[in-house]
Amino acid sequence: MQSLKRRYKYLQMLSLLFVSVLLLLMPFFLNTYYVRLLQLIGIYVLLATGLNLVTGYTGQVSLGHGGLYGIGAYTSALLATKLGLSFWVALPLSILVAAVFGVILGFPSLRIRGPYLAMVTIGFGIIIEKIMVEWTGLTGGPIGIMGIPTPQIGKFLFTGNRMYFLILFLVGIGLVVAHNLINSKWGRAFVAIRENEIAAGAMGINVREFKVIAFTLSAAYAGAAGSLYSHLSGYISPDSFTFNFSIFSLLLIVVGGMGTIVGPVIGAAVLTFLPEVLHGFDKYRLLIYGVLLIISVLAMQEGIVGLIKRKISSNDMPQDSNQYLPEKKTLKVGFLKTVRRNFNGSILELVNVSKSFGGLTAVNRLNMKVVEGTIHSLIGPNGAGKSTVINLISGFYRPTSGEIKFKGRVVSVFETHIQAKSGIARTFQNVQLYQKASVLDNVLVGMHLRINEGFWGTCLKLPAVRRSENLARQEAMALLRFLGLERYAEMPAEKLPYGHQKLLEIARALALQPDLLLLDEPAAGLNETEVVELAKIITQIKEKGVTVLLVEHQMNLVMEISDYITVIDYGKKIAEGPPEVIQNDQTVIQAYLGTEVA
Amino acid sequence: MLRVTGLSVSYGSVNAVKKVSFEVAKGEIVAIIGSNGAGKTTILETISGILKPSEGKIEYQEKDITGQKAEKIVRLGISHMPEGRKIFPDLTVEDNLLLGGWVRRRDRQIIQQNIDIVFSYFPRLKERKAQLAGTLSGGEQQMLAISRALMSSPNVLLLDEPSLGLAPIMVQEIYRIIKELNSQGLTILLVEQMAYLALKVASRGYVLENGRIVLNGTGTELLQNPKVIDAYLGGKKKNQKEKPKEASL
Amino acid sequence: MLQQAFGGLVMGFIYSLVALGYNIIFATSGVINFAQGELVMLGALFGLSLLVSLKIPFVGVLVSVVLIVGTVSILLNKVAVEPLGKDPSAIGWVITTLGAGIIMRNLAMFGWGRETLFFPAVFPDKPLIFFRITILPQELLIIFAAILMVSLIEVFYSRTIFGKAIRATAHDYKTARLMGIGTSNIIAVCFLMSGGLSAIAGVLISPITFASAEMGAIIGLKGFAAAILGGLGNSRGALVGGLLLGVLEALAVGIVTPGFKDAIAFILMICILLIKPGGIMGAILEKKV
Repeated sequence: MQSLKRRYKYLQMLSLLFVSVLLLLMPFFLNTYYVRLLQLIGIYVLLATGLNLVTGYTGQVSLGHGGLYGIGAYTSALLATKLGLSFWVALPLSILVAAVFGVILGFPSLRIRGPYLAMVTIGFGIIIEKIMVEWTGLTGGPIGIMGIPTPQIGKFLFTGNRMYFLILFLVGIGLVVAHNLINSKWGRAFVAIRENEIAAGAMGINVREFKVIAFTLSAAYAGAAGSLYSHLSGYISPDSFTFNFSIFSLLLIVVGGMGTIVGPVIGAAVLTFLPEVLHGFDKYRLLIYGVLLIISVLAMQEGIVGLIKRKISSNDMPQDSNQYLPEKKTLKVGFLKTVRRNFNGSILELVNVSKSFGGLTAVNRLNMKVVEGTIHSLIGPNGAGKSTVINLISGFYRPTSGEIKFKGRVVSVFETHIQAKSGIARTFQNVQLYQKASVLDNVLVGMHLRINEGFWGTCLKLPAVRRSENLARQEAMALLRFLGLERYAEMPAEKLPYGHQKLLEIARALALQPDLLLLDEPAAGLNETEVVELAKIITQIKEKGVTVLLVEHQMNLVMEISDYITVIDYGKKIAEGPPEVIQNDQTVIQAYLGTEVA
Repeated sequence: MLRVTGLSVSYGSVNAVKKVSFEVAKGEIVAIIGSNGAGKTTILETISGILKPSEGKIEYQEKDITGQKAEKIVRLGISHMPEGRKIFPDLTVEDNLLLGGWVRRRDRQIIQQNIDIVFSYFPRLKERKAQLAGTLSGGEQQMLAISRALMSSPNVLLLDEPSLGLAPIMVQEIYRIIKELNSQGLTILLVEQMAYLALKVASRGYVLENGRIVLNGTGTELLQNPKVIDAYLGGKKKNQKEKPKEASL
Repeated sequence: MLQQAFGGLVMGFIYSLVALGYNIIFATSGVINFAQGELVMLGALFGLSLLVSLKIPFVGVLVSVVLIVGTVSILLNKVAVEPLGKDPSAIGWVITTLGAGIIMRNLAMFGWGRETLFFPAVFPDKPLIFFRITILPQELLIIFAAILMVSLIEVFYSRTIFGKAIRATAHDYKTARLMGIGTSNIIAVCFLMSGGLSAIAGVLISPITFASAEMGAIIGLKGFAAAILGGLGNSRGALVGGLLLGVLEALAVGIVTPGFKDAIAFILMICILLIKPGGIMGAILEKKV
């Protein structure tokens, strides 16, 4: 396994080196027509890399990138022609202006998602296009803007091969920055949002903030691409920034491979050269695009990159994970706090808490105290309102009335990421993992709040960021070892057997270093051996000083490990006490088994 | 009438039901009881073709019906009343019944006959036949759900938690009707969380725990068996009677 | 002013028909069909050929386009929607229906070229004057036909067992299957209806806007905006949303330049989605975890 992984890495490095050398030498052997094509590919790579950040990684489909690209191009063109600014000033300003529009485009994503958002982005693109055509005074209308100067430094003009190297340089920077961001807490937050927004919030990620960040970053790339395009071609018109172009941008990443760094590069290269290979292609352009879109979704996951990956590894993806383990095997386990603080005995207190949905009262004036350092179970028959209680405590719902006190303070804001920050971690009844992300990355997302990686530092991958990343990985591995999952570290979470997925959720929740851990039916779907194992794990978690609130149907487990039990039925508390008391309580037996009828 | 052998069902990688075998003879009421999450609903949904089993066999009138489409199974005479009633609230009571008889819709005579029959069982529904089903009370909705399931003229009726969320008086009423339907010759497979209730009317019962059948016997036998309570509320001490079968973590 | 509002109302009826097309598919399959506008376009172009080249009488044209485009729509379901399974959150079908849409557009370009084509009106172009408003017979036809279609669909949903089965499937897919309702057939029928409705909208509107292979994108988006305005999945909402959009758009022309007219629908749509995602007639439900 280890050698396979190394060979894989080696292969990657080698091909990267080869491609770099090739790209540096190519223009000297090609005629100007092909150099021009390479320049265009470079610009498309930038555009697609940006789109990939928001659509491929964050999962927000944008069909308005033609508009953002256009904004970059027009900003640059106007600054250069009307104000006479040089390319070196116009480029960063175009990036800035496009980024501002990215923020605007990002806002709808806070309220709406999926197909609705896609429609909004189409609308955005078309509005931008209309402005380009109609605002003749500024944009020159359908005729566009001519005479955009070539970039220059003093008398040194960036024409031909020089422009090629300038583009190559900027694309290189763009790719490195994207790569650095993706392999950091930023990129993991994006993927977490794509894979499971609910679980992303529960791990402390401010989903709204990160969606806007993704759109802004993406727009910045589109702006840079647009600016380069206008200075390269010297002339722009609205025709280059239509809805069709937005579809083309999407095609670049869908065909190349969404959610991978090389995907957009391959997509841009293939789709730019394709028309050159097929003569009379223009007539069939949309037809081929359409077929490619459908095939990419139905037949090839992760586009061309996915195909290659499967060819190389044929399901034997490198699974070595020991690389993150420190030399000495005596790792100090720092992931669980053993310090106990005192909140007057009860870490969590529910006072007269009610929650109704429409006319239905799911939780009815519930009072409950959870003593610090205990395992407290919440049980009750089907539909009793247990999950609603968990969702209230973890900030998914706001109580209709009553108050929740955590660590002695009344909770006033009900937002999952805020609750996560204050020290509440949870697992979910139906597994809510980031399915396509690796097991290790799932745990690392849990550390989101604790990993200190600033934005700019991450872009440049400063030594401090590198160090923090390594430390985080070591800690995550230690957590995985605690739950017996370390050998799966590099596997996508969806490939794990169900029981292991449940454990991984616990590992991810522990990664927050919570004071209170909410477990929502952790034993559901586990086999007997796994349940025994789970009991040990939960007890160990308690011994480390983490308070556990457990919702569970498997009574053997509940009775064995609980210190205290609260029973609810129809949203009301019907009994509470230690396990022995509950087991013999007639009301409880009745609630579960019903009364005998004549 | 209905025989299930070695049935296992999994959702994704969850094993919800593991090697379950049971049998329902003609004219019987058989109850499957167990706490929430034990896999009861999964078993019913697999019989009615909503879920596909990963292994095992389902036979109906000595014919293998494993993995058949839901439409086919209703047509063969197995009708399933889902948990939580699931009536169509925006349609009238009558429309709900007509949709229940969807597979017999071409035979107007049978449909009319069935409507008359269910109205004779539940006269209250007749009074409310033009009312939107969503405006009915919980008990009436439950009656409607049972009636709707009867509209396809089934030989076997699968009932999922008919007592769920009902007031005790209503529960008694519903169970009275279940017994009556059975005395008219209808075979019933009943799934219940309320064990005492179900075992009272059932000729035989199976106790399901964590996807496996752990106990079975006649209704009266099970009613007197203290292990039934254990299955719901856990053993007094750690009971490790089952040997671990699958590999350790 | 009144004249403009009336023109807007006529367009509004068309938007309503397209919005209904979105709704019918969305209700049972959970899919927003990004190729809806292209179905309108195909209706218009097939209608044009049947009417002008084959000289088929108008009613015959309507029936034929419903069948042709309905079949295309069923095909769309088979190729771009069904293979993806029933997962309403998937972005897969956004891309596949979009892809199917541009395939249709390209094929239409082969068949009818890229030019904007004149579509003859069924009735003579002699306007009627009514309270100082000029009304073209074609406009009356649009209003009449749109109201007829909406009523037919309403009757189909509320009076026929098949329509009720569709509503049952839309409300609860799994329970509908327990009734023995073949839900995949139901969804296919919905695609057929939606396609047919869009085709009729295409034939009706073309004498006013003309027909072209490129017409689908804008009309499709506006129909979607109308659907959003009225609340996606809400039939009456589609009617109200469409009319509102049509009138607002027409009145706005007095304020902004005509070229910006198309942008209004999208600005309106974005605002509604941000402020009241359930549409002007819908309610917002609390998300359940």
